[in-house]
Amino acid sequence: MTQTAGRQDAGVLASAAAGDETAFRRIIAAHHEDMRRVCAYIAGDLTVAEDATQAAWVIAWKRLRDVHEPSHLRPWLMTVAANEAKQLLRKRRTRSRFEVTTDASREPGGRDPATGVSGLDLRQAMSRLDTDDRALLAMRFIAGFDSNELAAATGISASGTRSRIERLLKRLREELE
Amino acid sequence: MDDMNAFERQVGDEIFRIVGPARPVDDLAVFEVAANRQKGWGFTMFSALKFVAAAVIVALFGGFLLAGILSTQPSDELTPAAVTESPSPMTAEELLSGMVTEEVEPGVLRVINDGVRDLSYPLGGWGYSGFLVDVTPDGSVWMSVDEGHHGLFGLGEKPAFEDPFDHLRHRVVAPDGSLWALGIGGVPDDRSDFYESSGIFSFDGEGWTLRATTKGDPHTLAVGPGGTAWVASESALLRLEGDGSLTTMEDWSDVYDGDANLFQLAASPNGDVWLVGAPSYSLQGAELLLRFEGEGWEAIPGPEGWNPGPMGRYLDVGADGTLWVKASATGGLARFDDPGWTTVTEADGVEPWGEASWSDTDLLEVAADGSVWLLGGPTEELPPPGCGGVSHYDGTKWTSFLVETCIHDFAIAPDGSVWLGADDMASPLRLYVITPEAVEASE
Repeated sequence: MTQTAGRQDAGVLASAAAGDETAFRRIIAAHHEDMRRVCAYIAGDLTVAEDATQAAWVIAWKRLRDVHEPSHLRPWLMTVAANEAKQLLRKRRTRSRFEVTTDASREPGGRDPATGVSGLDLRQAMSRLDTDDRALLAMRFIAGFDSNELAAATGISASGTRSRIERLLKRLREELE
Repeated sequence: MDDMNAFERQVGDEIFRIVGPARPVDDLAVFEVAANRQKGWGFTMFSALKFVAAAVIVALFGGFLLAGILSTQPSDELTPAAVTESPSPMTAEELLSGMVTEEVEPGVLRVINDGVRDLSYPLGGWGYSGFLVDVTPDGSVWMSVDEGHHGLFGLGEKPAFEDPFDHLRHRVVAPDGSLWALGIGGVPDDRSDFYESSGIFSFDGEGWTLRATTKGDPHTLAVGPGGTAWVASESALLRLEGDGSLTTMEDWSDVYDGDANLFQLAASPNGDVWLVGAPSYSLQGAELLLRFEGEGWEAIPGPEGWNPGPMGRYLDVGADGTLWVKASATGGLARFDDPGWTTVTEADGVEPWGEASWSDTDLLEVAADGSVWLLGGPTEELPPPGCGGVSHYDGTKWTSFLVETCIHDFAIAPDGSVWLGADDMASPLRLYVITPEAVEASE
């Protein structure tokens, strides 16, 4: 989990929204990688992830003034990126695949002694999730969102996001038993 | 539970293995692509045309202008300051940029994805009815589903705002640009009785403010200039002043003697307030049309045959103070030209409605240019209430849009575009926009 972004202060957000290139680049530097990795998990494709993240920044550059609260910036950016990834998948008529593995460090993990579940089996089970569920997991684990941030990003209540993730994990767990 | 905690950790670890570690970011490269791609081909063409125009001018008027023109060129190329510095309201075109839409009729778009949410399965996945849409003077589009449950959503804007009440009764845009809502429940001083704890709230784009608590079962709201709000319950009319004082209006007894059921309110830009109601014992439609002009109430005879019921929003006041009402259950408009009425039922041989009846889906709005929009369109068979699209009367003729669509609510934006929330209890909610170009083409 990387919360490298932290919270942009109101000044940076306001400056970027007013067209300040330096402020906008600071926001890019803080959030780009988590957006790209959220997209990578949703799409399962590094090229789609790169394109979706770049498309999200195009939207952000024009629409950043819609974000009034600094605390809303990160959920907003992740949601825009996730939506772009889902749209690109649809446009390219491709299913999400887990083919982002390009080096040994990204190989599936081994069998977890606490759960008895192998990384390969877990990865296969997760590959059957739809893109909405993947987006939820990506925001929870990659972006590190708490329930309130997930609520802001998904439009459902904080308690709703908690129960949705619990149900999702339970379903995955039952598949692997 | 321990197993689930361990499993959750394992899921997180596996996701990190899938996506790999974060990499260094070339923020300058990302920025340059974002800033330049946004301008797109149209901007490139515009820049090229500007350059050609500059060259022609230079050729005609000599080198003096050359330095000035060329020196202004680069600043337009990279700095998008105009995007944020303009105080003018956001147009539909600007709002829709970055969104995914499909054209369902010439100039009429359905918003599939607003850049934040997938509106083909809208707003988090719930909501199949009661799609409410408002547009504030800055061009922002505000939406609610399920008659106001689940909060308030700005199109393309995050986050959602939770409503401070349990149930939304009525929401209007005030002259100062704020949204005002009449909410039932959720008022902190009294939750013992659902209908005894209602409030008048305003929303400034950042959050809700409770302006006053009310008693009874208020159902309609109007806000006039200066922040004076009017609220009607079944038999009482309340006035909330800008300073927070709330009074019960009881001074219409000199124009109407007896109990009354109050149906609808409309506020005029000049401060007048219009009130529609009926005797409480009457099974007929409205018999009361009252105008409050600051000093007292005046009874106005309605147009011939006009007897609307308690439901629906069938009257509105234009920017010039003109009152428009839906003239009858079968269609048409009536305009109050003091002291009489002008009725418009047909224009160019087209009557815009089927045999629609008065219903809670009635809705009429006067645009800034004085033209009128209302629910309903020409149909050969009687559609369910609200399922005949919308019609536009520009002063000479009618034009209908989305004639087979069930429109629940619509709102007119400052640029003349019309935003419509559609639901028919069978399909997911749909958001449509009739672009200014489509409106102009019909005129």
